[in-house]
Amino acid sequence: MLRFLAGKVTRGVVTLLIAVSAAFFLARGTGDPVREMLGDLAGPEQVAQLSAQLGLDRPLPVQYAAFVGDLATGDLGTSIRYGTPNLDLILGWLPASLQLAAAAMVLAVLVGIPLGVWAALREGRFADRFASTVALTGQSIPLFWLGLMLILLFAVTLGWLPAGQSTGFSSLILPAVTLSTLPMAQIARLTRSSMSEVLGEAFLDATRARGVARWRVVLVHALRNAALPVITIIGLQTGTLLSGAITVEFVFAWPGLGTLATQAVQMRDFSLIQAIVIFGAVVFVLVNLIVDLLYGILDPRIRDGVA
Amino acid sequence: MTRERRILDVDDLTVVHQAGGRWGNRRGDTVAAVDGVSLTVDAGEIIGVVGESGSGKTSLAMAVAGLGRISGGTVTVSGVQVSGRLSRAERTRVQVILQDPHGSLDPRQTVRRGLRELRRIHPERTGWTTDEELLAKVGLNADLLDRLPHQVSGGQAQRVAIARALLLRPALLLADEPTSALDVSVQAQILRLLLGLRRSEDLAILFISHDLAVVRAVCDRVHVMLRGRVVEHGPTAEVFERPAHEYTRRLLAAIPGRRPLDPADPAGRPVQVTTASVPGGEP
Amino acid sequence: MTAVLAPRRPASGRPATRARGAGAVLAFGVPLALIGAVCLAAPLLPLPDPAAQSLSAALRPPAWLSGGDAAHLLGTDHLGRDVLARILYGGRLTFLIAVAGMLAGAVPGTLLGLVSGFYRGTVDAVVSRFVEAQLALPFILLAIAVIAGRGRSLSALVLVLALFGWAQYARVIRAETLSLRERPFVLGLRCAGVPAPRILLAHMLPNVAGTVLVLVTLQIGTVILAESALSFLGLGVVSPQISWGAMLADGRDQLTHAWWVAAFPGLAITTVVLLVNLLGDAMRSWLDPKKRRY
Repeated sequence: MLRFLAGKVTRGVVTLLIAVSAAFFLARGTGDPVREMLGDLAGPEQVAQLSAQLGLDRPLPVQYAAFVGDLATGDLGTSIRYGTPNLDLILGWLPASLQLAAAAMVLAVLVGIPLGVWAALREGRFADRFASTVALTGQSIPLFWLGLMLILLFAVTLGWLPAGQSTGFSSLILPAVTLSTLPMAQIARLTRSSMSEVLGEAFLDATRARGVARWRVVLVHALRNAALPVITIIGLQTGTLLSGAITVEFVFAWPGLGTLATQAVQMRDFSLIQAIVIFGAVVFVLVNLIVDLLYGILDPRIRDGVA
Repeated sequence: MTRERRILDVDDLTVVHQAGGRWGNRRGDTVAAVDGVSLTVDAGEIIGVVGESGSGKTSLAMAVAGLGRISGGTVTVSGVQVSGRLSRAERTRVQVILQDPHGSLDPRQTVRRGLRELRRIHPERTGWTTDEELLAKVGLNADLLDRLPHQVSGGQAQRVAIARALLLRPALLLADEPTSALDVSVQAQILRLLLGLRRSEDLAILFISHDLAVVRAVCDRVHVMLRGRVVEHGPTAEVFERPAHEYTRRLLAAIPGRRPLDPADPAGRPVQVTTASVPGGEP
Repeated sequence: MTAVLAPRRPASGRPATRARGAGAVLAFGVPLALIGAVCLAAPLLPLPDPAAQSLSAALRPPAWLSGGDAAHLLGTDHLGRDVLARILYGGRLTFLIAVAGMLAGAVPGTLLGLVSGFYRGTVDAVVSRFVEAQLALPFILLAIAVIAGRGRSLSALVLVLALFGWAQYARVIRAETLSLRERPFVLGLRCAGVPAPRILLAHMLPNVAGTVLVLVTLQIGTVILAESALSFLGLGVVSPQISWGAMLADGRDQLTHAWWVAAFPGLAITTVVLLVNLLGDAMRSWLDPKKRRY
């Protein structure tokens, strides 16, 4: 188990290093961030000053070494516009994002898994078609547009729910429903396919032959076996959730990281943008590390490298 | 036999596989799949290697074909030692026929295109025959040329694989379970074809199989492998009639009551391989 | 990451299943092609100029509502521009970006997947780490990082979409190649002295082509969604160019009093992406009746 753990952590760190390096070189290697920040009207001394302030006047390898060094000590730099450390800013805006993401994920699991199980139990029949249509539509709809339409219906036309900003539980409903669509759709599709596989397996027939009630079989045996791929999807969805959160937060003016990111883009706060990108990658790698560990605990064959 | 007729000389071959994966998993566990095996094949000979799965047959085959690991000992084909650095011409002196006839052909390539590819890569070695003549040699009609692998039967696919091997004029044909995936009647046809080719082309054939009945039908000499070692070898009739090793006896006892292909003349009688006698139309 | 992939089996191709599969492919492919054709032919259709502003005709509702104008079937936006014309013209750019972004990801992704699955070893380890790293970078954040450095342009957009798409191809094609290379015919080809690059391009590539085709189809939907999200955030297509995402950004500001400005472009995106996803699914079951998940 320890070796499994060490291997996963090493891989996570390597992945993270590649990801942040890619972000570093993509931002610097493909263009001129200072020009982008100041616009075309800036004079050369302004450009030089900002370059020096950001350390962008140094040779690229020196910049990169400093960047990785800062990263290793948890230093994500200082925001150009706010003048405060990026990490403090991010941590300040993070709770609202976490709240939204958690609500969306809970909703996705609560709706997605029963939907998938239902479809698997009625394979090929109406329920199955219905569930797969819902799931496919969920994967095809632009989240932010769905958000706009929900606002139109429930906030503008019906006036039941607030359209935006964080003002208590009722304001969480629309953004959470919107954000949950995509993971819900994928969880439903995956639950359905792994459930119908598991349901067809011989050992379940054997269990049923021993007189265990059908709903118990589904609930205990099948769901546990179907849990593995679903957990993977939850891990992989974190990235999508982070991306989706940006547009959804933007639509609902939700005071989370996504809004911080779009603001940073509008204010051309290069340092803050970079910090948020890195933070997002760290979160993703951490979540997937946890998912991998869960996987190893739930299915010892994976840990021991048999599967 | 004179020196020139010696095609394959395997001398004290050892193949060791590393257990475990590549990355950060070097526990150094090793498994000797082939452990000090020696055998020879001369032109016009069919030499059998029998053993159960896991006996090291496949590792031996891969080493002889120049596609596998050689940890110790030597493999010499027509006087040239097999190693990682061989010219293309030297490497292709051994051609393989494998178990899964359909899997042996690229599913997206017609027979003709596959042959054309080989001709383009080896222009100097493939000019000796036309596609039609080549197919006739293995008992196939020329109208098969434009078919895809899934449009021919298993026996036909195996004949195509043999034709592809023959096109390159190999010194040694390495047949790794060439009939195990085929129906019994088709098996006999393919075995007859191999026997005929041995005669007409003076081919050396290393015949690897777990099927003793088949080995008995076609091989001049036979080697019995167990856990990487040759535990018994000798002329086929001798090994089958008076097995010396306990393992061979057990193997023989396990054969279902099946007669060899042609008990009167297991290796001899020239087999007419024409489209007339073998109408290429297995089920 | 733990890839959830069923092992590849050769397609059995029972005629009945295949025929039904072909029907489904047509059922979704034909409407999609029609939508594409209508967008492409937009300049030939009797439509108002999509850029023509007319403040007197601003925010007209769709023709069937009171106050609607038959000349503006789907209404007008806050500058009096015809929504239908903008959707059709915007579809041109949307499709163009989708195809360009898809190709820019599919070509390198497929090649990397082939190479890493075929040669394995170090190449594979490196490519696999990069695939994981790509998955670790949330797409829109990645886009923000690139666009913060480069500024907004169509080429930056296509670059971002390529960076976003390649890993999916690499992952799936790698797995497919890994199992393909163990098939006997590859051994036979190597034994026949066929050079490795030739085996890769002339034998492996045609054998994974079906999978690539399915991925490409599914990916077009994803790319359209990604483009619309970027343009919606103001990171993608900018005025005066029109894409569906950019139209939604305009529509957001009019939401409370002119729902049609935002509703119709979004409906266009959803319809096209849904059709593309259905087409991809249909193609997958057509090319390989045995269920495969990726």
